[in-house]
Amino acid sequence: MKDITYIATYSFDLFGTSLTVNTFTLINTWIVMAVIIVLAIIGTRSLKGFPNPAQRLAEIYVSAMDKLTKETLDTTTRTYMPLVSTLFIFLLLSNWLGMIPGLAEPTKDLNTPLSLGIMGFFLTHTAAIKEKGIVQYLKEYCQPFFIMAPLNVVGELAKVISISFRLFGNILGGAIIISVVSHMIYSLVLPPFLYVFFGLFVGTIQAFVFTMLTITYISVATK
Amino acid sequence: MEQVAVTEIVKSLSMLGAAIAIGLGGIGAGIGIGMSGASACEGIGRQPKMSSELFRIMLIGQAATSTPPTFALVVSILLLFGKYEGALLIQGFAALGAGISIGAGAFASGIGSAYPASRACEAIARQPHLRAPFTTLMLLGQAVSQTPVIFSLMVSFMLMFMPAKPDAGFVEFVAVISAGICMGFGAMGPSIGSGMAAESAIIGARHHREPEKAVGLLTRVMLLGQAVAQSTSIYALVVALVLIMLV
Amino acid sequence: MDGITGAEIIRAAALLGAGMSMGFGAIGPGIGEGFAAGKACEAIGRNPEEAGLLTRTMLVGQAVSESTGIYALVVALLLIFVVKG
Repeated sequence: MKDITYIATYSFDLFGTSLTVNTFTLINTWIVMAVIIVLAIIGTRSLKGFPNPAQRLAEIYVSAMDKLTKETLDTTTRTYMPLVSTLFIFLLLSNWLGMIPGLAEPTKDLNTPLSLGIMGFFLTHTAAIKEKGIVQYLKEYCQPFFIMAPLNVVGELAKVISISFRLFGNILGGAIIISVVSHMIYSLVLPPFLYVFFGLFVGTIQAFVFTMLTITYISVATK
Repeated sequence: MEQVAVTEIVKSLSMLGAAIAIGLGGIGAGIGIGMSGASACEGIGRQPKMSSELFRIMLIGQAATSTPPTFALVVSILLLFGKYEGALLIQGFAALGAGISIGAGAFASGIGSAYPASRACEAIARQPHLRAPFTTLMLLGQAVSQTPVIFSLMVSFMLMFMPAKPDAGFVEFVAVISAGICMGFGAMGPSIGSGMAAESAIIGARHHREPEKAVGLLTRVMLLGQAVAQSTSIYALVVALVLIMLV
Repeated sequence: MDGITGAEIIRAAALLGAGMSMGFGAIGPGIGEGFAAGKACEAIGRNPEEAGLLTRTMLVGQAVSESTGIYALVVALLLIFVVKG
């Protein structure tokens, strides 16, 4: 139990304030980022009219994400497509990383999903202000009555909590279940099956849900 | 003499937790597995030629439905065969909280994941050529509707294996039980709700003109709806974690 | 267990109240939002062309029905962090 919730940290002083870095999470995030960069380079290395397999895969992925973004946002522009496709592949690889022995999912640390959730929060509200203007934007907080404004603000903040804790809870829950079951029985069949279920299946679904919710929040806020 | 009494209390509280976990957690799946069995029987009655196909789908759906009580069984066994020598009083209350958390969570999740299973059996009996999209929707919907019970299990494990503080008093005893109640009952509504969403996704696929093509769209909407429906269970998780961390 | 003070009882009751508030408060919105999601799926099955509109309507309806869950969360957090006993 202790080894699951334990996060390796490194503290140092910077101008009199103590800063803490979650080293293990940081290294795992860098690994994911490196893999994405390598995949992007392989996919776009030699762009041709008759694509090689790597380019074909990259094209399938990008066009699927393009279609998803356009359908969800109900637009024809590609403003959010790069963000959405990067977010999805980052979360997907992050959630799959825990299946490699010795590495852990960066999303198991609450800081990763929470920072992505806060990013989505600011993105949503910037988009809403840009689309509607500040007066109309503020007016919507006073629905249905003026008195309800504080509760509407809490509701907006609760969205950040729900989107980030959903990812965090699912990934950490899977990791805890796998470790407890592995400690309880020394079976060769059950833990790998659990890894496939929680790593591949739940990880994919939660990465998709996080991405979809981020786009949907933008879509609802701008309509 | 004092130490023996504490050990006995912790042991009996753990036994109570184990009983609540599997006793309450088994009810839901018992009802749920019966529901999908009933739907499969009706389907076979209507289409006796389909019996082997429907039997297979029924067993798959029932296997997925019995995941939550399996979690409850794991918690129950861990509580029954734990080590109580030198245990502190707080661990007994934490064990009771763990039992309530997974028991109530598994109760609702067993019913919730039975809705799509039973509807899939019914749908396949009427439109046998569409068993692939119905099975996909059923399994995806069941897996996602079991997210709240995974949160329950997580809170249970945290309660059972948390480091015990020796100076814990009355407030801490109540706080760990409260965390169990919060997560256990908080998981109930979202599990049933997301099960209903998955059931309706199968109904939606039946109404569609070309159900094979609708699966992608319906899966997307279903996942989105279930994810939003589960936000209240995430708030319950947050409150339970705050209650555990405060202790 | 003989030294329970009044302040401790208040604090304990507040924590128990927080757990019950969020726990029972989550039941209704969970079922309701799942119901909304289900009806949206059914409607999309009948009328796939309006999927975008239906999804947005579903999300707005869910957001409104979730507000009671958010009230429960607010009450629970107030009970935990404000009532000191």
